[in-house]
Amino acid sequence: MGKARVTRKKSVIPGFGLTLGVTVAMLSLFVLIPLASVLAYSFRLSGQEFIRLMTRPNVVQAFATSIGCALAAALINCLFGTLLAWVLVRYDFPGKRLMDGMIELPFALPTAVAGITLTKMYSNNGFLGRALESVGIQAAYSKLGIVIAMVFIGIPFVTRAVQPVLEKLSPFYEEASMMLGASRLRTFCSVILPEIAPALLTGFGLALARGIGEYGSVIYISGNSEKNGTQVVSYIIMQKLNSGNVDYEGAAALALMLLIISFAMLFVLNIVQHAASRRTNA
Amino acid sequence: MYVEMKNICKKFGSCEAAKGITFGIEKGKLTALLGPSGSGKTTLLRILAGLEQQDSGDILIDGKAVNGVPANERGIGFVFQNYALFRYMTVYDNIAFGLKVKKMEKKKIRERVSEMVSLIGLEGLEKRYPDQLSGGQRQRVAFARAIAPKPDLLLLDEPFAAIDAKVRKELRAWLKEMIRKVGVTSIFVTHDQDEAVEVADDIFILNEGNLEQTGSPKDIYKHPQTPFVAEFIGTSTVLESLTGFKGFEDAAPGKKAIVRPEFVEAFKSDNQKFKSLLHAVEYGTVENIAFRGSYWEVTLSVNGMQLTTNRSLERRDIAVGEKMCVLLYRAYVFDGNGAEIRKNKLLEGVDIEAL
Amino acid sequence: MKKQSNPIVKWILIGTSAAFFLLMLVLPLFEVLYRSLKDGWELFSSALTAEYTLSALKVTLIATVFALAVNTLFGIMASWLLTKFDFRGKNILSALIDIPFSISPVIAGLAYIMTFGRSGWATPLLNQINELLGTDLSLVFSVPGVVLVTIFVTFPFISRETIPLLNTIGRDEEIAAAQMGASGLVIFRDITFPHMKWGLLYGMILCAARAFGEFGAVYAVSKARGKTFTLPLEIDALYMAGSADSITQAFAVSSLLVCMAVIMLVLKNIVEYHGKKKNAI
Repeated sequence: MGKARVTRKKSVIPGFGLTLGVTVAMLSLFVLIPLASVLAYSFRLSGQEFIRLMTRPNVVQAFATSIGCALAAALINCLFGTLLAWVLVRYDFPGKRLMDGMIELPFALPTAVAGITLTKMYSNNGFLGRALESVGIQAAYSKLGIVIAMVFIGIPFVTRAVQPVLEKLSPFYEEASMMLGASRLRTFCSVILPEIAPALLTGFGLALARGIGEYGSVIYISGNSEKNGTQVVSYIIMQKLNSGNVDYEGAAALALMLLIISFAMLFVLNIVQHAASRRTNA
Repeated sequence: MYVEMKNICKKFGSCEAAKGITFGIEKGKLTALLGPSGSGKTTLLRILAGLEQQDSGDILIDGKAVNGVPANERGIGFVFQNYALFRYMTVYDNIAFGLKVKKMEKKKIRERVSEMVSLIGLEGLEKRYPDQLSGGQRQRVAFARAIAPKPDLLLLDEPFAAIDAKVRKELRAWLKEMIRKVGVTSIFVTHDQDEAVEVADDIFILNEGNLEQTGSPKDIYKHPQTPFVAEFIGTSTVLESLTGFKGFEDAAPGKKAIVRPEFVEAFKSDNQKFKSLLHAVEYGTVENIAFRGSYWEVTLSVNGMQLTTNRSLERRDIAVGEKMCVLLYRAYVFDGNGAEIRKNKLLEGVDIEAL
Repeated sequence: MKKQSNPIVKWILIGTSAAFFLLMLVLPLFEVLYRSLKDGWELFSSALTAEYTLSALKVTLIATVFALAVNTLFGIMASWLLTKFDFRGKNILSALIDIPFSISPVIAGLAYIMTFGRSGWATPLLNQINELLGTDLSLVFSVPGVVLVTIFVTFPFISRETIPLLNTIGRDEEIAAAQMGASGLVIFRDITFPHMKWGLLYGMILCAARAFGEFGAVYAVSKARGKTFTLPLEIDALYMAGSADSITQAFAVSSLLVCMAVIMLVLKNIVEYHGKKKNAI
């Protein structure tokens, strides 16, 4: 009887009280209470101060950079992440196991390591950086660098979200479409894409959220120059904690703003995803 | 009465799964709770087991109220719908689990488990895991696991649902035999009337949270008390009215009637056997003939209404469109109060069974 | 599945992904090794045996072990709660658990400073406790602070793996066991745990990898090099010092973390392989 139950159904399985107690206690202690402090702190600023802070050119710039670069990186990741998933699911080729096993490297590799390594690779004393510079592209210490770092840390989100869906997708779908005379591209767009869309959105959302809040892998390659607009929000928050004039209220307000933006984006994505998945499940 | 349920009510949100159900079961009986899906039969079984809590009403087992008694203290063995065998335990450990929980001595556990294993005929498979067993074998293990701790009452939730059709027939006989051997009072839930008729001593028919009728399989088949039961048990055709048929002219108009295939006879007009009954015959046209393995299922259009009858393969061939004589022996007629059997008046004094 | 696809398209797709894969994932690994060894073995080994590095390694391991212990306990409790019971607010609770996954690690550090820092609201409380117990515990700018933020950023890692796993397995077996009278502990040990162990291990590996690599959150609450610095912070300090030697040393320490990351990846793949095999039942 799968009817919606508003209150807890009495279950024969023991342990409800214990696990509820421990879960809620630990969640509150380690996550919710500290986060509530950020909220409380940011309310120490008056509305006017809050607005003044948020409209400061470097703050606006930083939000634009964080969100813009994270969006660009998440989109690139959707493309390459899906491609990687596709290749890993559909084809056999030498080195496939290795490729599959290494997709999560960006999760396992400390962000600081990724940050300094990418910086050296793409700066003008690295060979990639020199190659790009010779065609007039400056990768390190620019927004492009930030995007590169965010692509690096975000790629597993998309691949790992899409891969299981592709694995489960029956090849009959494609065959049916091909038999009806659809071209390869048409088949992909009209048959496969709708199937993987919800998963792709999940991956996109996770990569985006990660990119917007990213610190370690970004701060080295970005150069953190106000003039070039390569400061990210995390960097500005950290500055307020570090520099001589500590500004906790400002940091808390920025953090709150960042939280609101992240959650709003995840919320919107959730709605879109819900709509998309309803159609494919029908 | 060994098991009694008194006025059991249960709601899930706006869905009433049990609307004041009352019944009693005698010790040693094998009872089927039969009903379509959504009739509340599984809920009732789970309430009896203590897996769900009734909103109101009392449950008595062996004369003792067990309302507040948790599931594990009711002394009930339960066979779950998909068996819920422990996938990470061997056959032996599955059967031994309930005994270990009861802190039985190791030696006694071993004895009881091997007794169970030989009872269900799976000697030599004790070390296997559930995924290495066939569907039928899994059901046997689930049964053994449930009765190993010697429960006073055995409940089975759709015990044959997860088994393919061919093995199912074998297992029905097997289960009936086992339960008789063990001698445990048992209740099982099913949506399949054949299953209920074949296995159970008594059948309780449930519909939309109500208990429609109780009785032996034959009793229920012969004397359905509600339109639902008449329609649910056996194959049947519903007629809006009987008044158009010869011999039923005095049937009250507007009452629905239910006709079983065996209430209908169709024969060619030159049939000698039925010659004496021609005065009671209606004429019909064959609309459809379907092969059912051991007989033909023939659908006829009579007076604008459809009747179905079964025809032996031994009889003469018939064709779609053919005109035939149709004899209606009897029908169930219903009103708000219940069902009654109406016999064809023109056939009074004729020994129908002899035909 | 692999039949009748156009070989040209196939190899173009494989080639593109291989190029992306090499450029984005493989090349950086070699870059780390190359840069850490390019100025010779001596500089490399001296960087790894430096007092700061060893201290940072110790703090890193402490934080990782604590994060693993706390989050494993939490993962088990939360997945039992969220997969074996239906109750009001279940969806909200599971959404709250995932919060640390989607917020900036910098905010995690900030949150702890604002709770336990000099002007944090919980600081007077903490001081009282310290006075009472005669201890001198500080929860920011200290090793316990590093431990706490590490727990925060890795908080949902294990439950995220075990909850979906237990959800697909269902709760029939647990109900059957409970119906027969088994206690919660027996049900967990004999029935649930065998189902979840590979998922648990998988989550623990991801948790460990994130824990020893965390930078932003720890950076906010750790200021004392040689005392509360973790390996990533030590790398930052060396890199920011800016001299050619110190940058090489930063890469040398990085290569240590790369090794740890690769070990985690290998473990992850082994566990994944076993887990898949078991669930193919």
